[in-house]
Amino acid sequence: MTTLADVRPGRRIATRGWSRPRIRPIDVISVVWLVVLLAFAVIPMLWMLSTSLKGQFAALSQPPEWIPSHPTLEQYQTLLSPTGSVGPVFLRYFLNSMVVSLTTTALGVLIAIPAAYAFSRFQFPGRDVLFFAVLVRNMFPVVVFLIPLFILMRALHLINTQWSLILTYMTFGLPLSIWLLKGFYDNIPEELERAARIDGASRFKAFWLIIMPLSSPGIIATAIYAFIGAWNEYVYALTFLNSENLLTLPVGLQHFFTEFATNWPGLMAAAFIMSVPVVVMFMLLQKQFVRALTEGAVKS
Amino acid sequence: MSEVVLDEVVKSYGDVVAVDHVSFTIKDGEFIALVGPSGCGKTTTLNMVAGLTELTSGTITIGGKVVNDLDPKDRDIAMVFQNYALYPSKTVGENLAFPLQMRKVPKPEIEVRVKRAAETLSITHLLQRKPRQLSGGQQQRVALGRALVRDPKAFLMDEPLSNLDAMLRVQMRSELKRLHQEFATTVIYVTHDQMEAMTMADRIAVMSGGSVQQIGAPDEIYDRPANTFVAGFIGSPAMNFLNGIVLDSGDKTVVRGEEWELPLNSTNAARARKSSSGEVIVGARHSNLSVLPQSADIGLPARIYTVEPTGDVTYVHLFLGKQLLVASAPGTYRGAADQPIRLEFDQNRLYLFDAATEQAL
Repeated sequence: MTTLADVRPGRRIATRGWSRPRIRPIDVISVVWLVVLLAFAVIPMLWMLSTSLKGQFAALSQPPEWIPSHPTLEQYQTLLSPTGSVGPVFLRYFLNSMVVSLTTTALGVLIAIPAAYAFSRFQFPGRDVLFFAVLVRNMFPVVVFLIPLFILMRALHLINTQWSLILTYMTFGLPLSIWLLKGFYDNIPEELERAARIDGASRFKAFWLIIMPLSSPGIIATAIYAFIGAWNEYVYALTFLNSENLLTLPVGLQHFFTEFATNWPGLMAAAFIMSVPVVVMFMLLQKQFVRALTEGAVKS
Repeated sequence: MSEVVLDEVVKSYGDVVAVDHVSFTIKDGEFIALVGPSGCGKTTTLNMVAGLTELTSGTITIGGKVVNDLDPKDRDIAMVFQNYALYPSKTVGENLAFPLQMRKVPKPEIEVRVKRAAETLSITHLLQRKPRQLSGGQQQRVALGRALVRDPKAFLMDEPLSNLDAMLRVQMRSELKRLHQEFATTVIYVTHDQMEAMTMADRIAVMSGGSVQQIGAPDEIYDRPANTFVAGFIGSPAMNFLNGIVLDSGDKTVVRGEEWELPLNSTNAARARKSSSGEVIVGARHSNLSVLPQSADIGLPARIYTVEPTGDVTYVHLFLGKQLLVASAPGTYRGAADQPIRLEFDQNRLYLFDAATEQAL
């Protein structure tokens, strides 16, 4: 059957334009602008990688070597070797960061899912006020909460524990997570759950078997956000922790490298290793991530 | 053993009463249609039977068991939704199997029953596809299939055909009716389309303002509407209504309106006199009005407004005094705007309502 869309003239023009592209000034400007942005984002990364492969002297040579003449993996070996003076400490920081970030992510998602679902599906007294309250946190700079949270954590005897960071990061990550997931649940027709409940599922099973799979892109995006936020955070980690063996990577690196004079290649290698988990996670999940952010923008 | 009984069922949201003391019984194997305009409470009523909406008061009984406090899953009913509500992440086969899996039916039996339902609805070739790869008509069939795989006490259908195009709707209508005759399961069918209700249902419950206006077989509802609402809602084009006062002058009784006067035969005269207010609403379906040439010696003088030929029937919109009416004439009938004609009422098929209560006389 011929539908309206098939005979719409606009579509034919679009197809013709596709097979014989005409370069317009706006296209040139777009490409140039994107290249500039890309360079801005990528060159520091490349410079970091390049420096991490150099020797101590090569790192400071003038003019700088863009590509190391004698590349070496020495710094990586030092950092990742479980023996020696540097390796164990670095790996300790890495592990601390992992524990804090993964716990934050897991707990955050576990709380955000039911919260977002409740905001989306149930009518209860104070629902709108509560939802607004959740978002209020995001309207203030993070640093504003530093002193109040420090006092709170001290009262809870959590200072100098990883829980102080996990709780803090969760409160920072949750508003966005809940807001993002609520949007997801709003877009899932309620009839699906109703159908499942009539088909023999309990309310929880209907959610678990039907709604959860549909919202997985949102959950993944939420998890990535929470993880990155926790992984990169510096100020709170610096304030709340003081035991050397609890430090997370951002704070640890700073301590570590200022203590032993500045070893630029070592610092760069450490920074590079630190960015690996985030990059890998993004590469694996970027499809879901993009889908989550554009969901609702285009009606399926 | 799956009679469904609604007894004084009420649903209110704050001050708004959505369903107002609704009571009726659906016999085992009966196909009943709840019909009415948007917001009349028909879907709310259905959702209460399904267990998706809680009752404010009253009781609902399915198969002899009060189900007020039962979860939907424990009511042993199947439902078809207007937007089909197919599970997007599951294939058609998995969609059909889901209700059986939830009820822990053994796997080999699930396969048999899914296959049988798919065959009944001719969707066997679609079993591996995802819902979004199907056309609207195919999705509709899958939604029906998901209800058919089980052997529920009752099928609940919420406007299942209204998202289909006109041709498919007519086709599915007869298929649904046929399926019901084969399975002989109780069906509660919600629709705003009186035609669907008339063609498929054993009985129709016409709802308005949260309450049931009339319940009965389609021809009963059509021939003997209880009030002006039912009379106006059932039938297309809608029934013509004329307000007038009843005048008795010796041996003759007439209804007089604005610039028209309709003599009544003795039966109708007796009915009209029962009006509490002395005023009546005369109802006449388009098919019970005859358009006659101006030269005819019977009928009332009227004037053509427009003529709508549809092939089989020509609808003549005309003015009787200041009142616009519609009458049907043979398909070949043609007339010009403002042409004077005469209009004859079929006295044997005249509807009379009390103008004050709007109830049938």
